[in-house]
Amino acid sequence: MTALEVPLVERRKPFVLSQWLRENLRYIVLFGLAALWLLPVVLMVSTSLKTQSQTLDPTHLLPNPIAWENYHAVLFELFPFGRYLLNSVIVSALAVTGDVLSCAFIAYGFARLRFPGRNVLFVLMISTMMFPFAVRMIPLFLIFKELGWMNTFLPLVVPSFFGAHAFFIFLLHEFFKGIPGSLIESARIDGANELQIWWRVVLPLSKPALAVVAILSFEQSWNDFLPPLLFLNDTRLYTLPLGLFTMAGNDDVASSWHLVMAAATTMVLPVLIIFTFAQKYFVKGITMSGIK
Amino acid sequence: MASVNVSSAVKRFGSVEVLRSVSVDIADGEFVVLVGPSGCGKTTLLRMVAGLESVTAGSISIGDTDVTDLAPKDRDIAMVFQNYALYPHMTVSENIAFSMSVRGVSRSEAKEKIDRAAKILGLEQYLDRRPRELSGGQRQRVAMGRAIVRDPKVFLFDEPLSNLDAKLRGQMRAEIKSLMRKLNATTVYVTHDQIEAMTMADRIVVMRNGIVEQIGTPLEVYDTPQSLFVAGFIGSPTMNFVSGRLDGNNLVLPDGGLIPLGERVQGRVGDVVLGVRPDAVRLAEVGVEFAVREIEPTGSETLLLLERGDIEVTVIQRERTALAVGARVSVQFDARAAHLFDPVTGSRLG
Repeated sequence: MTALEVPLVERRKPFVLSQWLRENLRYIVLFGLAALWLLPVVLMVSTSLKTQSQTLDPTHLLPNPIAWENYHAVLFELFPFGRYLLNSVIVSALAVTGDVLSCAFIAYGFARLRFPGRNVLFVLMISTMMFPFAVRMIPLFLIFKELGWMNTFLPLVVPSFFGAHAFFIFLLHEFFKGIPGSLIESARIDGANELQIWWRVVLPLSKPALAVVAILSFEQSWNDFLPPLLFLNDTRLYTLPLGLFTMAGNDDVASSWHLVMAAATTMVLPVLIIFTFAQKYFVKGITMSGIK
Repeated sequence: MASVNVSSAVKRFGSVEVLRSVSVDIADGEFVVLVGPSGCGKTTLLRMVAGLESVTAGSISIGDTDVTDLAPKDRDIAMVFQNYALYPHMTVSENIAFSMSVRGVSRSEAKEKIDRAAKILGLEQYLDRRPRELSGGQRQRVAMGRAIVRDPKVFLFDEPLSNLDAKLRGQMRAEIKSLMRKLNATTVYVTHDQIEAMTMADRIVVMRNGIVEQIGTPLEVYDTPQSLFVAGFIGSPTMNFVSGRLDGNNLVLPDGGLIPLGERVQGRVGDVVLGVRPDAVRLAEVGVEFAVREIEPTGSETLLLLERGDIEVTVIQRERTALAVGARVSVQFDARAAHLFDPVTGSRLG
């Protein structure tokens, strides 16, 4: 032992369990909760890599041997995964674009323009959040049928371009209200019209909030099941959740949980990747808009 | 450049009357400062000229055009805000260019104007930075650059220096003043700081509770304040006020003391408020007796705070003092520099 090390040893505090617990309790709790929430995901991934005989024995978490061929089967053999993926991407991309643009547009009006009846309209708009899809399902079905939009992507996409999601409008409204009024007034004096102010001043300043809306909207439309089920009949138009559901209901596959899980994993993956990359924006946007 | 005429302008927010019939005429190329305590309506008046607030009654015109109901962008004005209102996501040059780009000015013309503004304001090496990378004074200059490239008819400033520290404020004060003179710009400038008003203005508009108390050049307002309020608001340290009753050539204090005012008050009788600036009060061999309550040396001069019963008087002395707190002194008031006000209405007498 050198002379330098002596003080280090002397400074070390005696280990006291209660103190250690107090300092680390929150991590223990968080770790436990995280493990609990991750369990289904872990089981999904694990099952997706098992052979059919292994799926009957859930006690072995790690598949042995690892059945990579499940993914090959899902992607190329069992059902037209590529087509469903493409459909999902098209629907989600359009829905996200529509949601972000239309909700930001409407929210700007509510947050920054003065017009008679604004508050009443805003409350009315917010109250549409109270109606679950199950309530709107039948009227929507009738409307879209009248419009001749059955068996197209239009019912899944067009509403997004008309501010169908009151929650996104509300979220952006709160964010826009936080933008200093003098910036908007300054732009007004500089000669910008409201559309230019919205596009060139408000939107660039709202990137975090717009990112939150984009992510939530993507997640929603990517995982959406009931509307596609309702409005799409042609299997070639199916989105991933719908395709997955049909596959799981197929007699040949119904008992093949390893394949169902492989398909589910493939479907969840894009959302997971996007979340990982967008996490920074996501947290920032939510804290800045004052909504938790 | 153009003149600005505000004629009987009224502003009501619901039932609250913020401006009560305000009229101000601003000449072409004039630098006018609106000054007053918070809530006096000065910022509201400026925003009405800018078009950011509607006019409840009355009218506003810029040049020969009645702009009362015009949108801000159609008034040909530029405004510098208290928080500068720079667009955080744009660089300095984009900030300065914004008004030109929304108006579709050609790129080469815009560049030329940006370069000229940057040169005038010493911003050349900051053009590619974003506002958050600039100091307060630099942001202030960018805000002015944004205004001057517009070549507007009128410049409006809303307390532009209040976010700066004292030293920078003094420097920017002089810069804005000389810049506006160089541009021969019609300027309306709002501040609550009477020193800014005195030093920068061609004319001062003193406001209180939604009305104009007095309009005049800085020295007119300083030398002949038309009301008790103006007398107390303009000038630092504040004017001394002594209440009493005029009797012949003297002001009789409530405790019986006499302040001789000579011919200044000849023939007047009745209750008045006497106003005397601290530099018009001096210590003398004979005079009204006061006790020294506090001594405030500022270096170049010394402030003596004196009291006599309820009456408090401040005296400025050029020379340093040997007096101590509690000492008794005799004071003479310079009758020629004395102001008399009506104790009830607060208005100037004679």
